[in-house]
Amino acid sequence: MHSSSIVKLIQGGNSLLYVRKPEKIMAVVFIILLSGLVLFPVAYMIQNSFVFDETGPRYVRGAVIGEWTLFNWIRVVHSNISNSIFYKPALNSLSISIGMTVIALTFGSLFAWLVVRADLPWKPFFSTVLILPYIVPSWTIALAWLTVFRSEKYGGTPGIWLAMTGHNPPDWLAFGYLPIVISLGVHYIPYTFIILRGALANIDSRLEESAELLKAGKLRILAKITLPLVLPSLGSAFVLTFSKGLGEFATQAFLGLPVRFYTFSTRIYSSLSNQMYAEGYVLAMILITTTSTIVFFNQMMLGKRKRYVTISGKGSRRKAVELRKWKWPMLAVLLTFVVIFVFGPLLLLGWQTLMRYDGQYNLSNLTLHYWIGKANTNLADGQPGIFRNPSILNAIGNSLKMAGTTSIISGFIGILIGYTVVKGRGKLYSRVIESITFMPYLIPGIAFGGIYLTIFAKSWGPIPSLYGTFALLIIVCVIKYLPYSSSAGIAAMHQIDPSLEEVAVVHNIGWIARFRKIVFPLAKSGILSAMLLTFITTMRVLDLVILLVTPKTTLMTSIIFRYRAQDFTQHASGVTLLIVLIVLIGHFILKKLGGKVEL
Amino acid sequence: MSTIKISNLIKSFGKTEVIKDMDLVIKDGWFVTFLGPSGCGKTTTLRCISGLETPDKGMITVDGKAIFSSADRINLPPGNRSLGLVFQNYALWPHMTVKQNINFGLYKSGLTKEEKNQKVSHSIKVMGLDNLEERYPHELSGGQQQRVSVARMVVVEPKILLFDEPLSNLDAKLRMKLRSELKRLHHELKATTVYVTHDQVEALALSDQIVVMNEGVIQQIGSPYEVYHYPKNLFVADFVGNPQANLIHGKIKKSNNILGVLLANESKIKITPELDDELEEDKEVVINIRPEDIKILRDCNDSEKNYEIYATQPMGSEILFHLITENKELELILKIPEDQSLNLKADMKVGIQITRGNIMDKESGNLITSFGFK
Repeated sequence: MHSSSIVKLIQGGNSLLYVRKPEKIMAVVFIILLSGLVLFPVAYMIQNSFVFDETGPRYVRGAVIGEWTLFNWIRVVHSNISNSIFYKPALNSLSISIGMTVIALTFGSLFAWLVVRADLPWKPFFSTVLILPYIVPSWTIALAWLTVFRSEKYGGTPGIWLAMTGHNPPDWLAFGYLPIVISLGVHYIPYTFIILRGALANIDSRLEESAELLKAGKLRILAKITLPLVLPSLGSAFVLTFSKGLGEFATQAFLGLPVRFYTFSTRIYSSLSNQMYAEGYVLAMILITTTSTIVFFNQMMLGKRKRYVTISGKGSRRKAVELRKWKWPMLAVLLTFVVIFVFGPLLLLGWQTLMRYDGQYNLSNLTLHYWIGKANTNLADGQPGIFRNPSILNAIGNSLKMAGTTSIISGFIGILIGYTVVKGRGKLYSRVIESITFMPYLIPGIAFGGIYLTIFAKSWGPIPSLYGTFALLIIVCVIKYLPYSSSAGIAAMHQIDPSLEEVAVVHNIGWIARFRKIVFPLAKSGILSAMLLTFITTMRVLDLVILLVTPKTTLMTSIIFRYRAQDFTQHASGVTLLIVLIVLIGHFILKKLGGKVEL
Repeated sequence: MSTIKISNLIKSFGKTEVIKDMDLVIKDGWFVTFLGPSGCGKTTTLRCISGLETPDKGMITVDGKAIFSSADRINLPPGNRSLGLVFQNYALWPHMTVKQNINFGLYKSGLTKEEKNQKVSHSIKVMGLDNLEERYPHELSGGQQQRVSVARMVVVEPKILLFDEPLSNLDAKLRMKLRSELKRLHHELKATTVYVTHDQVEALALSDQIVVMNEGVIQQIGSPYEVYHYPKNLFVADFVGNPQANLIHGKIKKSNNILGVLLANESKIKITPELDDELEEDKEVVINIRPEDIKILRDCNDSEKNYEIYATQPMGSEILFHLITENKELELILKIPEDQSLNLKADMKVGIQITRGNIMDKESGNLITSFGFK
């Protein structure tokens, strides 16, 4: 190469025909970064499920750690313990998912129809309140459930049921399948509610009105016109809820682990936390493969990729279906649901934090000790109240710091990915990046956390071992929520006409100035909503981080998990309420900003 | 001095070749229009000149200096080509006021704040945007928005002005007004101007030279007069002109010193009394006649009254007549000044006289000869 052309190359001016565009440089950076943080971990997990881990020699004579083997797979799917480590948990997960999906879909679609199409009073109230169970952490209802149905059989203090009836509630009501299905079912009602609400609002009411003109009855219209029109959404809601249910962790841990009722996710948790890595990987891979297949199948059926549901909050004005004699019964159903499952759990948890001795339901037992009290060795092993408790305060600080940092980084990366993907429309690299950013959506949190745990337990070349650092928590959250932040970024970028930047190019304005002065200001409102949403989600995340937190990096969610295990119920409930409060404030600001809420 | 020379330019998007080996010279100070249907490559050519699009092959020079050359691996960034570009959608930055929009155009000019202010106020004045400086784009009408984008372009005093369908989003009245403003601007700045449009009226009204394009190939380069009256091929004949030109398909028949064509079903149409020796008997041709180049004969022999008036459309100063032969094989559109169309009504039988037209080879589509022009 001529020296002059090298100079030209370095100057980046005239001779660089093809590399001048910043999106191409960013594309390279993102592909490397995402390969390292998404593709590599998955590949690593697959590979390590086929080699002996440190526990290998314990089971197989002559096993060499790191040597290729099918042992792990055989152990999980075809051995004398496969029943307890794989088939039973898998069956539990499947039946939980089916049960909760049926509950979520039945009530979600009924509520959606009532709120969108029927002449029900207080619609705006219901529309807002019915979302709440999905905004608060998924285990809120589980904790409240325990408050009511805890039995003396499993140690700890009595629940309300016992206090009122004098009898222990039956086992099937206190722990295990039924409570898990109900808690998760209620948690996902808003999810199906939102999907169906959108679908129903999009139906052209003239389709129903023309049937009415032809003298079709209301039920007939519902069955022959409305239902077929929302069927795709209904199917989609079923599939998505079902696959999310398979990966749920927290509720199943709170309501299942005390009675050794294992599911897929809790089994992965116990394998990985007991350092049975290979076994955990095999289970995680089976879970990931299952959820991915389901999601891809759903997308194939939908014909296009639909990543999430968008709530636009758009009301529609149209003739409501008259409920007549059903009006008040339906209203009663809705109100009962709201009282028992929306406000009830929060009030119960609130009450619980005020009880000096948990399980004694009288006024003289009320105290603020667990919020502001100093350490008292007679209560909760001398744990001071929440606001005086250094480890809780530390966890609150950590959670806020993690959620804040994660949302800022996510927003920033989201905008850059959006820019790269949209600018490279139609090019291979654009599709590659878009696909990789979607992958974390398919990997359940507990499995994702598990992979990161082992990968970052050691150092990789210049990258030090990150286990135990705050940075690792942030990285795992940023990557896990990439599907949301990058799709928000892509959506925001799609709204900016390319000519707005091209004009600046013609005016010789450099990339950084273009980005700072034009692209960013125009994209920022869309990104802000995504950031706030990431903040809310990160505040209440448990499954993703439970394997990664160390005493130094305790989070609010992990401290709840620990306090539950130690039976410090008041503290656990109090911290849960604090998360609910923070999350609700976040949600309120999000709504005020007019942002779209994406699930 | 800014003469743009394009040679052997090729550009593909995927498998579609959008520009096919183009050669063109745009003379200094000229107003040149790329005219063609959507997808003909006109905008792509403009974007290649601007540098926003990188051609696959070829060379573009300005005053002999290459701004793009695939052979020498030269590709000047758009910002270094000293040109300005106005987009169809105005491309105003929505979060900036009129003043900020124009001012941000000078971001890289290296001028002091005062100099910038001076230039900005000057171009605001020139474009008639006084009192609108503090408004945001969404508070402006379409016409005002387009003026702002023109102001933003000219404030940097580019040597070449590029317009990408700048008037397409405006209503007819405003389009007319801005058309004359653009023409005036060009007259004052004398900058080489390349203007892309699919609107032939705009092209005819504005240009020194029109480049008619179709499917990535230049069909004709010529003055508005040439393009309108002497289309080089069927595509240009068909595309330029509103209402569209009449195209009569048939075989050449010469008899009694009269040139006629034989239509598919054997009926014969008299075209012109002139005879061109070059035309072979029985050659398949397409005759292209402008609607204003046909006269209606009312007082001819009944044997010549072969046409029926199917419908009339008064257009103000002119009236469009839709004629049809008895066997419905041939339809013609005629444009006649209102004062010459006395009492012609639907269903009346009339004769016609063709005053001038172009004869094209049906096979190649190219012009063979013209008749009736002085």
